[in-house]
Amino acid sequence: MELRNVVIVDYGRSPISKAKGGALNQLTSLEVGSQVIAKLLERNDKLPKDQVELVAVGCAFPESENGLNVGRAMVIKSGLPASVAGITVNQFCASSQQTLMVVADAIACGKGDIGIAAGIEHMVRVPMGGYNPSYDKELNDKNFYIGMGDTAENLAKDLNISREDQEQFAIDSHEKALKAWNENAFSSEVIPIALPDGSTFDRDECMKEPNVEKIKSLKPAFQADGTVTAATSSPVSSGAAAIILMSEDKAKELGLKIRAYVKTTAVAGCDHERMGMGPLPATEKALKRAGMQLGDIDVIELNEAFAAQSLYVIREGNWPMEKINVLGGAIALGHPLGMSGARIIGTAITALEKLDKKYALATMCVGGGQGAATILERRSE
Amino acid sequence: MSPIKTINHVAVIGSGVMGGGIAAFFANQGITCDMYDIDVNISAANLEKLASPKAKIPLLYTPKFGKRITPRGNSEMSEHLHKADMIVEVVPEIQELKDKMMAQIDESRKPDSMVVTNTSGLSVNRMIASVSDNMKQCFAGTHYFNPVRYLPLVEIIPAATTDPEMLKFLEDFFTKAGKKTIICRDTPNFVANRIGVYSLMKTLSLMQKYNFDVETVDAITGPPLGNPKTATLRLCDLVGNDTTLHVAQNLYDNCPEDKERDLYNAPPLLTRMVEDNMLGLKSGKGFYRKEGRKILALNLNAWEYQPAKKVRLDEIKVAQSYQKIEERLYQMVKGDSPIHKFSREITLSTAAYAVDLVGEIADDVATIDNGMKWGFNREIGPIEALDAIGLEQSMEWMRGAGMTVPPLLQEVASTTGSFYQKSGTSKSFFDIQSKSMVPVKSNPNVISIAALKEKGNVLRENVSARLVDLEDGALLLEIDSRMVPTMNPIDEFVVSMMEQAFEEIEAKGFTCLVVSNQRANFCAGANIQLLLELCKEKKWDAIRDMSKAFQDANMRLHYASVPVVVAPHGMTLGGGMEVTLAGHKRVAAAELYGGLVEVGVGLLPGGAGNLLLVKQFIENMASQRPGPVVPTMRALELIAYGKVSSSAHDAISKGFLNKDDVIVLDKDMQIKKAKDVALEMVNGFEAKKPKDLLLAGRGAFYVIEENLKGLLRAHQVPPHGAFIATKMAHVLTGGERANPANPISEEYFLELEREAFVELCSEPKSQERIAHMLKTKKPLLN
Repeated sequence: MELRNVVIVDYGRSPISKAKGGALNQLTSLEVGSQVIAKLLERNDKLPKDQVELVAVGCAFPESENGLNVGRAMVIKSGLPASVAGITVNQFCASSQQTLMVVADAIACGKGDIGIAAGIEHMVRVPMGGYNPSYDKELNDKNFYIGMGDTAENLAKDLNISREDQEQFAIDSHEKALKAWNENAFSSEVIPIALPDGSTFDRDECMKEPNVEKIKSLKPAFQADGTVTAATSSPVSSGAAAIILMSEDKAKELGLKIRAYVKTTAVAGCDHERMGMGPLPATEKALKRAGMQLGDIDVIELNEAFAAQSLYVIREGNWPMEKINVLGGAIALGHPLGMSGARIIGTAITALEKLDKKYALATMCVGGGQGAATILERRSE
Repeated sequence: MSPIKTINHVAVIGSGVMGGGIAAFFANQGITCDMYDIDVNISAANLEKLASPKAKIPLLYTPKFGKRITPRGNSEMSEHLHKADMIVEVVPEIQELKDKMMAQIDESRKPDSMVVTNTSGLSVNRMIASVSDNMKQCFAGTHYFNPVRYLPLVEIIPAATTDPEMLKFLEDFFTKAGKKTIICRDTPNFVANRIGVYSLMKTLSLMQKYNFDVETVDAITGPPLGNPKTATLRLCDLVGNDTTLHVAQNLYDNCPEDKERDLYNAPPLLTRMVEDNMLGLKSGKGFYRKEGRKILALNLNAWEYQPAKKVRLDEIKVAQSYQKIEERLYQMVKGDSPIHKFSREITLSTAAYAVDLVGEIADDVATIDNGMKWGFNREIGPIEALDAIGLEQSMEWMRGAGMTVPPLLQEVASTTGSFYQKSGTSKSFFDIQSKSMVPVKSNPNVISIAALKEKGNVLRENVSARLVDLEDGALLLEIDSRMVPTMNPIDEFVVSMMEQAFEEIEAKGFTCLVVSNQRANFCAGANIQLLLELCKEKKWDAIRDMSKAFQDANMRLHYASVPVVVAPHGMTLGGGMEVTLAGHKRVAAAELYGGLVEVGVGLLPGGAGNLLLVKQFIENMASQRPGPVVPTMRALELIAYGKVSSSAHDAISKGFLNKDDVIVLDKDMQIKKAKDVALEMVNGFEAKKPKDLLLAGRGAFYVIEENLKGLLRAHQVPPHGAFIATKMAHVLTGGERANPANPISEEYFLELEREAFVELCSEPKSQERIAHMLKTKKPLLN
């Protein structure tokens, strides 16, 4: 069977809201995600809705208001016809990177022409760990459920990554994000969300002018003698993102602009006590599959779960700092777990377009010890 | 025209300490409130302080009630004041300011809305000299005491023009809101402060006469004489010496006829202290001064601060061995030592001053005594004190000391022989108009346990508890420790009486049971001194038996065949909370400081508290289908951090009480309400049946264990704290046997609780926590 080319024709996301007093605390993830998909379809009015095969929604804690197959619920709530299928996918932080893989692979195989890969998370309304967490003894003895902060501490210790370096990385992330917002860089991707009180939520809430004194004064968040603080961790946050995928032929037939080609993807496992290194094996696989070198990549979106974790990947893999997260990363923008996979893929396209470059890598670490990577290609017409 | 009869919305003008306290009082009743100040930023900032969860003296029952208060600037009055059914004016005590405000209120208020002034000294009649006739009719003084939430007294001062219906409405309204009211005449400082300031000034002058030091004066004038622990000089520091001086001066200026007027004229000691900025708490130094954790007291002769010494006086020791305040007081004044003489002089002169003012500041003696009890938290009023001593004896001592015997005292002594008389449960007082005894207005909503005891309703009694016939088929189990009367801890005698209650119920056919008391606190835990001794002797079986007996007693309450209503109030901690949880329904006092605080002494609840709390969460959350972990987590959070409610409302939001439990604002009405609620439940009452519990089991236990390890790594919990919480988690997740498909029996759960309790008792670090608590009254965070 010959595989078909899969392309991204559009991408949109909600602004990301903070935990305490966050604008999206008034809405469920289902509501936010449905608004994103509905508005995305609205601006792509040439797209025949009844030809959408599948909406795949990533969510790291698909329970409570995100339970009951929220993916299918979102099909109906976003105004797609009942004939469209919906699924919920859970790969923790990579959930919506995985939804892209599911949809893209199906289209490549000829199983459907159009699909939507979405991701949601509301880390306030459905907290990390869920409402009824329960551990397996054997795995617990193997420290499988290690706290994410502790995995970051492990990586920091492995490579002696200083607190100062982590703080500088976090400060840079905030400054890049603020600059990107000031330059209107996210105007193509951010979809304003209508709130129940009649107002509109249209700007990310987590990033701020770094207060260096405060950052330096914070106590370590996870280990009293550690180096990881709240300032060098991605913040608890909420939001939704969606990507429209289709076969290259379908995009051309409909006359839709092709924003990027999905060149290849990969997932990989790693030591769960060092889950933050996941991007290294995933990226290695993806590059190999694409027949490329890291040097060929123009733009890297490396999800910033923790500064220590990002710095570990950068140093261990000898990655070029100047190509990474040029519009700011998750430490500044937020990391709503199930949303982030789609978000970094979408932001990679934004960055490619802004810099007029060709190849992008979007990669992230995953709790439990995994990594995911997607390579995109932008072709000039 | 007649004043409005319901209060839905109030405006409080002034957002300072009193204004904020009054606004909070209304918000606590569920009444919305606009709180004004010169500028809206001021009232907004004051509201923020008022509603802060960190407030040192919380005035709102729960911070979220702050939402009922809207901050406003005075310029908004014209727009919003007309919405208020009652307008409370609390601007500073400056005549021109008050006059200006009255005019402004008159202009913006709606007709018939009530207007009240919270003045402590200015004439109420003078304040409304130039307002409209309608406002004159709808106007009165209402003088609250600070802190408003905690001092029950509100003095009501009718103006000459006040509509009598409004007066009646105010009395009813405040009574329902848990306040105690007295009607005062419009004289300077009204009743409580008039007598209170006298007593204070007299104490200061006697202090110098007897050359007593600060610590001694407070030791004498505190609980031995029926006053709260703040006594006299600590109270001065609290109020502020400048304020006291100002209030005294007001009396001097405005009471030219007062025989004791000279006491109020620039008293040298206070004047000197104010000059030296020794104002009390507000300037950091007064009669006392805190230096780090050390308390210093002012040495009046050297005029410098020295470490405060502990006062141990035989006179006080003797008096304190008497339970009844009347006897205690008598013991304090009867002898011939300087301590006795001082006590006698302050008691008799305050009483004489009060007796002389009957008919001038208030209509009767009861008003004055009540004012002092409710406004200053005194155990006995100044005129009641004369009855306690005996009128003849009092007069003899007065004459001996060269005092003038008040004519009214002579008159009462020669006619009725006492100011008050009791017969059965009714009490009467000497009325100066009719010159005869008239009954004290009794509140039909108050049941006095003391009166029932006198009536012979006690059925059984031991040193820590009592069974009292509440009549109409209701039985009262009173937890009332003779050994530790302020704390009323659970001990073997209480547990025994819990068992005996059921013997009485069966023998005499009582239809319901009320558990409560009328002491300062419902029950502040268990006897940990005894527990520590058992630990040291390694008597684990005895500890296990003790825990089992208390578990059994609480479960027996819980599964009783008659309705059990528990009426907790004040400190309701540890064992007290476990008894509360066992009840079928609670009638709680608004002032409820309840929690399972065993963690503070290194333990977990050992009397079925874990079971009852987790069961309550499971039942209350059932409709939300929370899954097996959530109720455990909710219970664990309360128990592991030893959380204590700041009010009954807060106890509901924390989960100690149910939403349909009853809250009583006035503690005195609690027993009657509890009895009524219990009797209402009798018809159709079905005993609860034990039900297996669906808990999460090991899976959730590992989650909690890992979380605790994480908190420990981040130094967010002390090591032994994490250890204790792990034991709690073991119990609350249902031990080894529970899983979401396998309900466990309550018996198994109670065994888990008991074993964990014994295990923790055997931990040296837990024993350290107990010892530390006994020694310092503070928890050890080891």
